[in-house]
Amino acid sequence: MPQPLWDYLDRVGVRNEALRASLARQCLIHARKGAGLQVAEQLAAEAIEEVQRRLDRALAQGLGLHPVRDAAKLAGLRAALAMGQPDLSADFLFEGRDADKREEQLARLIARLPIATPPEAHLPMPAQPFHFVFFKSS
Amino acid sequence: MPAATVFPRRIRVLRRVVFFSLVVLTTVAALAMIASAFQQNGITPQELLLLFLYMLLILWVSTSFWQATIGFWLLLWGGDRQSISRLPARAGGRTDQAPPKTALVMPIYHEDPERVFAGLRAIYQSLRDTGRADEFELFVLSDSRNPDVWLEEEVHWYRMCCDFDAHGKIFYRNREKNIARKSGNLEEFCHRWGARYRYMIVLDADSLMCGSTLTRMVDLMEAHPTVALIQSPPLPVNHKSLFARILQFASSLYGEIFAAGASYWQLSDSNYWGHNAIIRVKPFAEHCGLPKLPGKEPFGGEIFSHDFVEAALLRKAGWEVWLAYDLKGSYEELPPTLIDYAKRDRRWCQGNLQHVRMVFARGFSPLSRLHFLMGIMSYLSSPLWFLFLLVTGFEAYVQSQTMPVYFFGDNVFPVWPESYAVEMTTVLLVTLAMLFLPKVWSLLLLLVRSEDRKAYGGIVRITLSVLFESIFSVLTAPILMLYQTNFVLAILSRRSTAWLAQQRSDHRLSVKEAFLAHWGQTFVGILAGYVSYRYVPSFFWWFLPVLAGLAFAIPLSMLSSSTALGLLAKRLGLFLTPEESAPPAVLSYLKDNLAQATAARRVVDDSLESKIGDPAVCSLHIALLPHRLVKRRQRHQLRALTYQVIEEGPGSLSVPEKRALAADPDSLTRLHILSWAQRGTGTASS
Repeated sequence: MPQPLWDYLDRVGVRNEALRASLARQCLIHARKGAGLQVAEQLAAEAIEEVQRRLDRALAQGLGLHPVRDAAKLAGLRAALAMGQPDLSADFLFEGRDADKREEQLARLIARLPIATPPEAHLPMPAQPFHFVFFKSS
Repeated sequence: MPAATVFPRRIRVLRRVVFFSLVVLTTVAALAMIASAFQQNGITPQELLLLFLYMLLILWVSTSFWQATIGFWLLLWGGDRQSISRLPARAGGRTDQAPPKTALVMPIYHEDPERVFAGLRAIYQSLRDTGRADEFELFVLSDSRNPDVWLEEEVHWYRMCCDFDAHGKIFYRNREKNIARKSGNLEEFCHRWGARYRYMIVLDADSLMCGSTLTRMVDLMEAHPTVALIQSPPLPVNHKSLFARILQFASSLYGEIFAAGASYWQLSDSNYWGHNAIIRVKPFAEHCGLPKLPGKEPFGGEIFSHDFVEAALLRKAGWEVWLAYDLKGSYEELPPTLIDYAKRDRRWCQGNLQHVRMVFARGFSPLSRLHFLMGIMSYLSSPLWFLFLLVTGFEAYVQSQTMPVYFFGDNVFPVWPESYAVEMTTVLLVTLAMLFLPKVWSLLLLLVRSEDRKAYGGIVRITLSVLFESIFSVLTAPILMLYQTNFVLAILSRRSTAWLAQQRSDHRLSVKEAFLAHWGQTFVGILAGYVSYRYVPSFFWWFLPVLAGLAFAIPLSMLSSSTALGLLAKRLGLFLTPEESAPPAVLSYLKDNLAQATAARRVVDDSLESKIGDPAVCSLHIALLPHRLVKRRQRHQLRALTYQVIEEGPGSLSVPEKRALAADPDSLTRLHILSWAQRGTGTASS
């Protein structure tokens, strides 16, 4: 098991070690299939991309989001998961056995979605003309 | 134009007549005395020049003196009954349709994110203590270009949202193009979100405000619908270096009488100082959009010091602008060293001199023009003092070379030259009194305020502190005079200054830094000392305080930058302020927040590579990027930059190149994945 892949899964919020091992294995297999015989660096890159794809897919499915149109929102959710220690982890997205727990975790995740700006409410701010006595006016 | 009850005109007129009469009468009296001494043998051209310079300078000094004296008088009798915080609520006016929400906006540009967010957290904590935090939303308006700072700001913002469970209440925006600096930053905010808020309270990156002060400001605005802006007087806090602690003490002790005096004659035509002020958003947006001035910088282009202009525009539109001199709980920080202070002065100098045009803009009230003139004079006074000293020295030399003639014409008896020593000494003493009496007024005021007396360390320590502060200001005044003279000359020769981030944290100056910054002043001091001692020895002794400040500029600047000396003075009870003796909650919050941030920082790698490699930071950044289309050519350029990072490391890119990469989600994702892929293989270039 490549250490970077293991660490990466931990950093994105997969806390359960068994789940992490299983996901790492699946991602590596997928990477080998997609890339064939390649150098280790390319293989690792493919595997990490696959982790991101799986995470995004799980998030999109769980929250009814579109993987492309809602890419920014998905990135925000990924950030919330990765920064959500100790009370948030990505485990529930892949386990999905306890529906109530899953709903609770989803609600907690949505509550942590970064909202950088509120909806816009425009107020025009026209530039005021200046008329100067001894200087050129604006 | 607001239609509610406006502030009575007769009170404004009466107070201004009193104030300006005092100023003008003092100026005329001082001029009469000096002119009588000059008229001995007819006025020479250099005497005429001296009279003119003295008139300008004494006008400036007496304005400041009477402002402080009136402020002292008002405070001695319990304060001004006509201040905005004491006026009864006024009915009428147009109903403000905007929801009664207030935005706390903090424009930042390459500031230390740790300090910015520790301060914001403290403000928010204090606001929550009032139980009225729901009436406010926080907006961090970042203009930072450097991706290192940008990404760090985002992380601090998100952690703050999480820690206070304030998602959707605390916002962050990084502007794609930072047009028109701070005023453009605020303009963009008003344009995009202005209709969401009735008021905005503008903060500086180092601003701190108590929650109760914020809610009080909102209540005052609600009670006075004709008011568009209320400025609170920010007090400097939080300093350790000797330089900043002395300034902090002076500002805290003397500031109140000056602010009360200014409020006395300015009333509803006061000014805006750019931060720690509440603004009614709608009239601000309607009337304060700033154009680019014709011509190039420093006099043309974007308006540097936008605050004075915005206040003038609001007053022009019929809105009231007030200085709430008695509003407590408003704080800011100062530059920690003399050199940093001078750097800030360079920008302010350019901004104020750019207002020369505004003095001649049509439609502004005479008082608005006076505000601009006073801003200009606060910098122009330095070259005027410099010129005054030069001409005085020359005049003294001429006088020393003139042999008195005792017998002339048909006079049998000798005609003794008249002595004007009494008049000249009186002029000097009056000028010095006007410069130093405000300090005495502040001391006297403490005699009737027992609680304040204790908070400043007791009367003995306060008196010693005032004495040392006076000596320090006498020594540093000539250094600042030469700095400001240099700035004015640079601006007049059309040299503009860059928009640089400010150095706010304490740091001891090295010999090299101090030498490079002050060698010119030291040289001028020694040269002037030699020339005056050699040719006009009697003048040398009068000139000594000025010469000493210049000659010792390097050690003075270095010593005053010392935090050890600053803290020693604090332990000795010198230069104490009430905020040091009994810190308000907001300052304690800030201290705790900074300590926590420092502890957290020790375990985090701070480089850009590490930030891009961090899944949390990278995802957060991508989530916050605005959606934008990338053209094919740009895509190729971005790809080339990505490969450059891979092969040569991020250090090989310029800041704009790094920013271009950091603003593109695809490039970031690629770099993020590669940074992880390279970890196992050890091929990482960074």
